Amino acid sequence: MSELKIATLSDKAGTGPVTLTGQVAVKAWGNLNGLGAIAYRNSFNISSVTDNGTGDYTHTFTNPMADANYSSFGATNGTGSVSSTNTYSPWIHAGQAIPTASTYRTISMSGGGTPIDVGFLHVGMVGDLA
Amino acid sequence: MTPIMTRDEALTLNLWQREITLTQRGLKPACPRYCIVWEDPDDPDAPVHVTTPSPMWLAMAMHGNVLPPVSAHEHDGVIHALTEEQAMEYLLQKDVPAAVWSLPTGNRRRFVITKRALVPTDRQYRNAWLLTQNKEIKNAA
Repeated sequence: MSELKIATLSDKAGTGPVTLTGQVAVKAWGNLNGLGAIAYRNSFNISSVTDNGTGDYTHTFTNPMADANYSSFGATNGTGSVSSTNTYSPWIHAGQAIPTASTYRTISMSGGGTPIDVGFLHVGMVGDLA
Repeated sequence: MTPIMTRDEALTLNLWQREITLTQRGLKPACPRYCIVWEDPDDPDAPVHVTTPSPMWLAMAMHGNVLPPVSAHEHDGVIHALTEEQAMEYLLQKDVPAAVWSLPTGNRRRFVITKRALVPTDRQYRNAWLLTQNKEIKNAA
């Protein structure tokens, strides 16, 4: 087996990131503060978040996905507003039956099924970009 | 200030590659001062929506030579550096449904671009927030 030891990996021109062929990478991600003045702490390939109501957020991509058949993952933590003994999950919002190529809408629910704002909402998308 | 990505270089990269490249070159995220507060005409009984740009997207918009023309979002070409106010107008057309900003509204306004500091941070009654129609109140959500 060959071993690569390199310090920097770039495209042929030496100035940009490489294009992955036959491999999968995260195409968009965001770390959202859902408390107070709601905003991303950091993100990649997400242009904005729309606060639709308590625990209900739409994430819009900078570079859209190729279609709506991508997959997502996420996690939440209620730190800052609620007891850490509760559990939370980001769900695809019922108002958006399926994601679109340009937006992904989530709703954070308490263990009892009540929408709730969370201190940390992490989302990521894997699939093909347009 | 010398841009850390030129127009010619940007045109050789996909939009997502531009963001990675700018991040690697040290482009700092820009904390947004403004947001868009809007009503959905398809769901008039719903509370208002509040759209806030991501700090990295805003930094790219203000850097210039990164974003495509908003009128043809997925086509080639890049636009010049925007002010934060211009970036919010771009975001309105990109991320808010066209029915909110492109259709006649009569006497009712459907959106306002306002300072984030003027939007309540207390989430009490969040599901009852509405856009005020009192146009004498400046910069109010």
